[in-house]
Amino acid sequence: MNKIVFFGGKGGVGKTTCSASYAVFSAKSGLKTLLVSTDPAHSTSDIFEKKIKNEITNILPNLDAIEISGEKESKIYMDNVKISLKNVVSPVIVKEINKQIDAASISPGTEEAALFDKMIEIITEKNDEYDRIIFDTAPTGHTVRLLTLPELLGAWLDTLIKKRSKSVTLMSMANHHGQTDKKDIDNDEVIKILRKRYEKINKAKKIMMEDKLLSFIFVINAEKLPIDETVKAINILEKYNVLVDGIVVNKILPENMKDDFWKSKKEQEQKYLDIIMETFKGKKIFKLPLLQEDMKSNNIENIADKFSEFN
Amino acid sequence: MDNEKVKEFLNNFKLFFQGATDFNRKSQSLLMKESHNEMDDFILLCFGDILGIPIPTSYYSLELLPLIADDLDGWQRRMVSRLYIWGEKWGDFDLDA
Amino acid sequence: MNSLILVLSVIIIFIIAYATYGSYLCKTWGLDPKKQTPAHTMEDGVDYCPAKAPVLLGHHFASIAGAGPIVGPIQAAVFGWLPVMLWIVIGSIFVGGVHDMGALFASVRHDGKSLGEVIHSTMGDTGRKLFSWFAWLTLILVIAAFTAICAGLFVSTPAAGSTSILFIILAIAFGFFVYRKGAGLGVSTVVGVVLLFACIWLGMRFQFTAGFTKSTWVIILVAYITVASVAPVWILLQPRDYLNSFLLYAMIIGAVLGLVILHPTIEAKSFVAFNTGNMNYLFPMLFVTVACGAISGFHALVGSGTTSKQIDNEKDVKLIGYGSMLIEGVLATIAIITATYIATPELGELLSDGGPMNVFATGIGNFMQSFGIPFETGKVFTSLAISAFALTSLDTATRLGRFIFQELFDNRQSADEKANVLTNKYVSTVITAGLGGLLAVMGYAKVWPIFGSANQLLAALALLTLAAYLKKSGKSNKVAVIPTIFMFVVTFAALVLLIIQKSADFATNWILVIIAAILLVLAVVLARFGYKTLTETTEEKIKG
Repeated sequence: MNKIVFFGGKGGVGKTTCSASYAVFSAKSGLKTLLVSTDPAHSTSDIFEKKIKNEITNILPNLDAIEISGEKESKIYMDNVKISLKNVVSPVIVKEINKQIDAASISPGTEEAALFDKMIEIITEKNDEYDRIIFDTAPTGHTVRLLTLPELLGAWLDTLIKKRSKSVTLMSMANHHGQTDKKDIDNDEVIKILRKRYEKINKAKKIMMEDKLLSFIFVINAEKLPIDETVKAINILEKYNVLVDGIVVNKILPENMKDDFWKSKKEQEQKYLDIIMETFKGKKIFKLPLLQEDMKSNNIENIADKFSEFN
Repeated sequence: MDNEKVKEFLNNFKLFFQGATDFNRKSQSLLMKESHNEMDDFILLCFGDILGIPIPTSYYSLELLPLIADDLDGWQRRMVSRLYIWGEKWGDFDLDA
Repeated sequence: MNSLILVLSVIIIFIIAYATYGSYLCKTWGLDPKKQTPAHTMEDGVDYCPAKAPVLLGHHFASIAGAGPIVGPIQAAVFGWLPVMLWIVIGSIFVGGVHDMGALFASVRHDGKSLGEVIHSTMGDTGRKLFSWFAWLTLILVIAAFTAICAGLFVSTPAAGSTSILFIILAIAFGFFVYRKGAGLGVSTVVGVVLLFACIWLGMRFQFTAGFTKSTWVIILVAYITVASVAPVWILLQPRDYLNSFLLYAMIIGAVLGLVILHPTIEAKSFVAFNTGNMNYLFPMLFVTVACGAISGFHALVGSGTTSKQIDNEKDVKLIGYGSMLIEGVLATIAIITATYIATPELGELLSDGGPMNVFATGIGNFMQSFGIPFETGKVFTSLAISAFALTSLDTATRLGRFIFQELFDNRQSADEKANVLTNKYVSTVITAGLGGLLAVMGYAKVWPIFGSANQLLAALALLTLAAYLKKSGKSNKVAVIPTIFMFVVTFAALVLLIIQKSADFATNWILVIIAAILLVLAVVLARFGYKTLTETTEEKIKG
């Protein structure tokens, strides 16, 4: 299994429980593990019965967790911008520009962008510290956007750096009778910021895509619709060179059902399980049972062990 | 005419001559103009949403705002008059004809 | 008559005009020294930035003066020097000066927008498109005229051609070593000036003669301006402008010193004939041939755009707008003197041999001889200087023409950048420069009057806009209306005459006839637009 593992799938299939138990499994097998929850409902805290905040918290031996939220991250980012603004221009002008910042903070992509930013920060900065980083992520669409972000941002940053460098060069040509000073470019604050972001995004890209340290696990239930959707999603991800490692079939009904309703349900499930085994041949397929009660810290280890059969 | 006036006239004549033959100024202002144009495009790529042009990366450009803020007003004014190249380019390049 | 007396009397007349008519204009237009100018209200350190009046006068003069005020008067000298002189003096005072000062004034009152922008914004979509087409055609004519003039000069004075090529190579090398490699400016300047004179020395020894016809030079020049106009400004523009300033210094000193020492007697006839043959009637041809020295529409577009943004105080508008036009009148007077101390028959020969620049170079060469510079050297030097300025005009016109062309053909409703090949930077440059070159092959004598007509039409439009603006602000506008009518009449008459004249040999002149016809149609349409603006003087029509 790869170093960075993303759990994906439609809402309600049990991504959080699966990623939590997988994290416990990793920790128990001796890997220093970080579980990152991006779920706004913060059910990770519920599972471990421990308040996890937006900073790294130790849960079990070898297992740390963090809950990040786009809303919080974007607020931190915006506040930082406002503070540094006040140190560059008069607070009176900042008042005017604040409108612009506030408008940005409610625009649709902002929280997602902030979340991605934080995810990239964790990937680039915690990569060396942990043996495995597990993301309980959002639906597939978001993931694809996250993976294409280095591409999009890289091109954008590249253009910006070029434009700014050209502008600085021309200005220094005009001011020093045409002589250019390379230092002017290196000392430029704008270029420094842009380069920093560029390096970060490239590092994330290298980790996620070039070194192939990223893998993806899909969580599905044995039903028709999720299978079709997952096939599509896998195709997309593999186009981006992301390895889809395994499929977790969650909420499998127990054997020997008694009444007719559940018996036919179980038969149907078996049919779909067969289809799943056929469709995702070659990938690791984990089956996790439907639990009688909510998963909590006392029963999580039982589930975690289910992963060992395949690793 | 008193001495002061002659002096002033001569000085003004000198300034005129300097202005008229200061060819370096022309190319210097062209370079500056090009430099500013690059920056105007730069700001457009970052803060186009101020003009109602959606910029998918606008979240990331916000951190540049403190460094750009000073020029934002002037930039908006310049962008408004840029629908046609009239005025702008004719002024930048003098025809010398 | 002695030429020195002529220059001095022109200067005295201009000083009187400046003090009387100039002040009268200030009063009727209501120039207000207490009113804040755009340079202050909109100061941004980029475009809007107040400048000292004398310095700004220098900048503005440098922008409006060039090869134009030299070529036009010399070319018109075929009518005799007196009518040309009268047109330069009367034109500068009552038409050109009003036009330039008015353009600057209107621009200052419109947030520093150039008059071109103001004209442009008062028109509807169709008018705007027509105006752009008109501007593009005018620029093509600039390219054609100056390419033809340079080609003519290089054939008649082959040393000027080779020297110019060496000069361009020198400029590129100079730019490379100074601006890219960081060689010190002081040392480089000394080396540059030495090499500059080495260029002339070398150019006089290696001359392109065999096989270098006018057409060959036109092709070389078109290729050069195509490349120069798409290259980044710092590669050629900056070093060339820097070196040009030395040429200009030397030429001015040589010309003035020579004029004073030699103070030649005017040999040419004061008046030749109303019709110099081939329907070349004094009216209207004189008034379109001498454009820049008496009135030029380009001044409204070029000067008013940047200068108005730097006016420190409204009272400076008189000095800078009116004053610089009068100085240009003096320059035109000096230009005509270089032609008139040569007797009329020889002048005709020199003109048909190498064109007006050849006459000017010969004249200044003679002036310089008076203080010991060999005639040939002086002539080649002057040729180099004046063609260097013409080349600057050429690539600027190509750049501007390309921008307008791209804008004209861009479908603003489509996002597909590749769909229209005409909006491509290189394609539009090649079309613009190529068409100019095609016209240039016809010879400058044929192109120049059409270029002059287009330029004067532009001036008429600018005057019309000024008249409309003055009327709107409740001021007397007859100082603008009378020149407007005059300029429209001149342009219409000239274009009609040119069409008739050139149609006689339609097979060779068809491009010229077509362009003149298009200009005539545009003139009618634009005059109608203008008339409408003048009569409906609502606030938003003017402000756009």
